[in-house]
Amino acid sequence: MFLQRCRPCLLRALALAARNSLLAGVPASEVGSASAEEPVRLTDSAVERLRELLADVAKPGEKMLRLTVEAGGCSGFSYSFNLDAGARDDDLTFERDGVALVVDAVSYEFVRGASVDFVDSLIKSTFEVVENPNSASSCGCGSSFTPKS
Amino acid sequence: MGKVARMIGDGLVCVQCIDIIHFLQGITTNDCATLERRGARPQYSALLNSQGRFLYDMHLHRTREEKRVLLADVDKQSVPDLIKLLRRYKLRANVDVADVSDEHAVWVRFGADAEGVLQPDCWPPDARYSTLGQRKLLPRGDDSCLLQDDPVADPAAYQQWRFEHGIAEGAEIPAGSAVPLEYNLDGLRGISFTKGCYVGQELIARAHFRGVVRKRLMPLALAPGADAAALSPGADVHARGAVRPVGRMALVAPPRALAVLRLQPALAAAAAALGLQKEAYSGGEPAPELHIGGTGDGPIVVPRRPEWWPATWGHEDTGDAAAQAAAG
Repeated sequence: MFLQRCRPCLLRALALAARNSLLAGVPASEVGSASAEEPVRLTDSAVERLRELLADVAKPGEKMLRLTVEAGGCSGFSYSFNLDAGARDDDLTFERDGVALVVDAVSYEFVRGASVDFVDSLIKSTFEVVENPNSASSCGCGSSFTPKS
Repeated sequence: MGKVARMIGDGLVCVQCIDIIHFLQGITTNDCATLERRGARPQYSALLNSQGRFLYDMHLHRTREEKRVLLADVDKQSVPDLIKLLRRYKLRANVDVADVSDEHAVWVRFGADAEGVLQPDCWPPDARYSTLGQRKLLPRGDDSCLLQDDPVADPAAYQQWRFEHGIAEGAEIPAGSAVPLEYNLDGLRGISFTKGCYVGQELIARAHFRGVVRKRLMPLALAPGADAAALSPGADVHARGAVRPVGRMALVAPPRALAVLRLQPALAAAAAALGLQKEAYSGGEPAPELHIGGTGDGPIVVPRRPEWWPATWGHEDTGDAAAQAAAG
């Protein structure tokens, strides 16, 4: 804000452009709802891996990736992923390129604005929560985190 | 002759959950899976913060009837905070936490020859160290299980008994700052190193597998004639002639006290006090005595190595002990 006031024209134009491009990435159905402000994003590799996993499922859209936050893990709370049959009432759904991620309302509070990535390395091949703005610190393997209080 | 005491500061927290083992396994230091077995003995366990510092310790008791319910026997002072923490960890799990201190009481039976005299079938041995005695939950007001010839002891006598064995518990261990391995929770069967992740595990595992714990809680005796009033928690303990303290007083309940001390000088002083000169401090000199305060004229204290300590403690880095002393 301070910077914008100093050099209004150029910076404001840039900020607007950036905001527009962010909004463009959000599914139309979510714009205006609470989740639109801080969606949980799927990265390219997560979308790709999820497509592979779902390829065996007969009907498209039948299964989705569920992200849950539970107590435990080195840093206090841990992420867990599984393939689930469908969304429940209090779930938030985030779609991208035909695949969907669902997060329940309790877990969502811990992962607002984070991204879900798929990592394939020597130590593990797994979905992983990255760039979680709600995490104050995380453990070495990245599967657990300490929320900001 | 065994003595019986009801714990005064006992608090009971009832944890109820459809999948209670799964819920507790992620947050406690010990392996809860062993509690799944019917008739499983109580387990000593702890909760840490994510920095691996001690928060609360507890004895987890399986109730006979209900496998979804565990009773945690904890320090009364910690009950409200423990309940708050468990509720914070609850999230979507179907967990019910309640204070049931009014319904049950914690009893201990202890004494110099506890194991010989006491009926082993009646009460389970203390999960930490069997010589410490036996520990049992009874409904409030029920004293039917007490043997008639067991004298009822003052709870302070039980604290003296624990201090004699160098064991602190509950709110005696500073929540949020104590290092669990320095308070010997590993030797007291409170930590599983094979169970997998739990809150604070990363730092505990690192310290354990690095193989060296340099400081530990030890029992202290005052040298004859020393002024007990000079002992106060937090006071520095020095080796004679050394500037850097060996450690500091942790708990004082005259005539006994516990201190967290660097093992190398403390064990050397302990051995020297027993006339065992084989554990020479460095360069063949007899180990210096330990005293309170840095002035050199504070009361002399004599640390003791408890019998239950594993033989390896304090000898993990014997090979470069001299180098350590020089660097220290």
